[in-house]
Amino acid sequence: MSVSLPIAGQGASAGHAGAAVDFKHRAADAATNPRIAAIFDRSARMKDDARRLILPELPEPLATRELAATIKRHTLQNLDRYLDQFVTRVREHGGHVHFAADGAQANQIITEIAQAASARLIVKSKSMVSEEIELNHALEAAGFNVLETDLGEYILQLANEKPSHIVTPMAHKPKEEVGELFARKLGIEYSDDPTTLTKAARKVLRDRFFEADMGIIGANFAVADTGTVVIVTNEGNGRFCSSRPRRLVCLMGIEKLIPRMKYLPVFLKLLGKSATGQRITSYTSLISGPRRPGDFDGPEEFHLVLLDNGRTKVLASEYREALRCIRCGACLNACPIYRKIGGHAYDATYPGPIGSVISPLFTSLAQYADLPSACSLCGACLDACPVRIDLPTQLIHLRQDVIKAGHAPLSWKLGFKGWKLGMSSSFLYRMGARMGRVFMKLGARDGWKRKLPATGAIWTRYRDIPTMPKPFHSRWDELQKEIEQENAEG
Amino acid sequence: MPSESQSAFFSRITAALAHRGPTVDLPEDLEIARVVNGGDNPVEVFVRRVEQSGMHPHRVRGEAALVEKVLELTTQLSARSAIVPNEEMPAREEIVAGLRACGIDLLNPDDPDAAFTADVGITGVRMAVAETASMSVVSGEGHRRLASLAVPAHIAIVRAEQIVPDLLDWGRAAATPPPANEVLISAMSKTADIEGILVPGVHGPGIVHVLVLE
Repeated sequence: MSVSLPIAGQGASAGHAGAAVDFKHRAADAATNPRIAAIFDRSARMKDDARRLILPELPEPLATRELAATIKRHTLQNLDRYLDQFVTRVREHGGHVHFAADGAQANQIITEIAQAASARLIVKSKSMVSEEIELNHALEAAGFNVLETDLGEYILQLANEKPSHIVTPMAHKPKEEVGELFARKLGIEYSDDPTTLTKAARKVLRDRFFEADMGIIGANFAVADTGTVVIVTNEGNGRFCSSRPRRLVCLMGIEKLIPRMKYLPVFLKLLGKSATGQRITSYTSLISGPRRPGDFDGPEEFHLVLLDNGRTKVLASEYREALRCIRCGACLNACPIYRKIGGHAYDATYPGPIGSVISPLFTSLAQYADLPSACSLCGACLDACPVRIDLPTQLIHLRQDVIKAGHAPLSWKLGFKGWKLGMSSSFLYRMGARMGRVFMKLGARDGWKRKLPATGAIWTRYRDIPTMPKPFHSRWDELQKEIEQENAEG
Repeated sequence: MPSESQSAFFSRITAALAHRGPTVDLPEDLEIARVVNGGDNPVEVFVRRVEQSGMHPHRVRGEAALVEKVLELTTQLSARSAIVPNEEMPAREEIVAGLRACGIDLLNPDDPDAAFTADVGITGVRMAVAETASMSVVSGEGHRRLASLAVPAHIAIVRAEQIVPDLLDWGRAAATPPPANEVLISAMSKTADIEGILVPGVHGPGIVHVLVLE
């Protein structure tokens, strides 16, 4: 048994229910929790190091990433055309295509597909977009039995928790907790051995795959000219979900498209390497509609649900490039903030740098006004991104939007008003500087002040602050003398 | 269905693209992303990378050696039953006869549940890729999707001439229209979800033997 400290936002009451109300408090809770720092720092660094190690296997890593970025840039610029071609091809293959303006509509569509099929058991492959629209809740509310089949997602479903990373969803959960969970929920003997635990899950999920009558998958990519959706998994659960059940539903955001099959390799070369430092993931499944005449197995029905849910809003904005994202999670692993506070503190489906950009864009700036500031602008995310999304610049622009929309705290608004006033009048500027110098001298020793009041205390809690020097022009004579003296000595 | 109409959905996208920005051309030349060239001896690269991925490569010369190797591996795996789909693969008849002679229970590939009980699945491939040690298996006449998935061990048979150097070559060789299902198998089934510790065989086969027929 491990000694466990509580993790913010990860109570037994599920997901974010127990989390502190605003981002700053959640982040502060997480950052001061040694267990979170240790777990996330270790798991993020492990993946980040693995990425750095394998990427040079490409002869031209940067040029390859630029190539991927250009392909995506072109696709987004012509998204209506490529999406139209894609829809046509999927229909030619015998697939049904549905259009969802938002998450509620997508949930309704998928619920009705399940109802029409009288689905008894739905098996699901890992899909972040389904987390985005909370598909499981909707299906369960309609009385359906939905089972996550990615090991990490399965564990989180049993524990009633939310993912803390977009690729490795249970990055926050130590093996001892999984052992206790399995002992409680699956009735097996306690073990903290990952192999034993994985075998136990395999046994349970095996039977479910056997009997499932509906499968749900996301899409890592979609190829316009062939009408193909592409999913990558290491475990093989995506293959099971898309091969065994009689009905298959693929839920995808419209930004997943690439124009032609010949471009898919460029992205496959980058995705596995950027995500987990693998040359390529174990399985890359290409699904082009339901089974064909003469096919012995595979789904009899194939439903494609195309989701907007804020994406066209982003497409129209200056943030279009955020839609290039292939959800590899490399920016999370590289981010010093994510490593310190973990995924739950963001309280968003998509955490980390990319999450701080797309969470407010997909939903509302008011809801996630703090996230664009969850960044030190160090640029590690841009450096890691396989499709070269300029996340730091996007975050700066979002901060401007937050201010423009009036979501900044009152202290900011007053502070900047005061600043503007002082800066636009030479009299006030000089007065302010003089008062500041007098104030800073109070209680200072050897030109350093130990303590500041109010917000200034945040600075002086960790370091001293120098007093304000005299203005340059009044130091002129002193400086002249110093120079003359130096010259005389030299 | 409560689906939005296609025209409403598309008109929102087109409206969002009112300002498309400066035209970005689709790059035609992708060679900058190439890792393996034809001159790099793709078979060597493939075999080496199959090994690095955790699968087990075996090079065999001629069909007789192939059949012998398959039988040796099934014995080594202590397999008592096998599924061999009725698909195009080298020496299929001889392999089936050999397995039968060894007392292996050959499950009926037309039983949709057979793969769930078989100890080993033996399949051919459509193509293989040296760069990523990938083997493409496809759906279609005679093929069984679960024969390389639901079994604890998979034996894949690759003809040396099926190996292309790079993923770019695989992307270019895509069939039109594509099969309903194609999978690139590039390692055994595995997970590292629990504390980043690698565990093979989570849902699919934990053991993959790759036989390269030269």
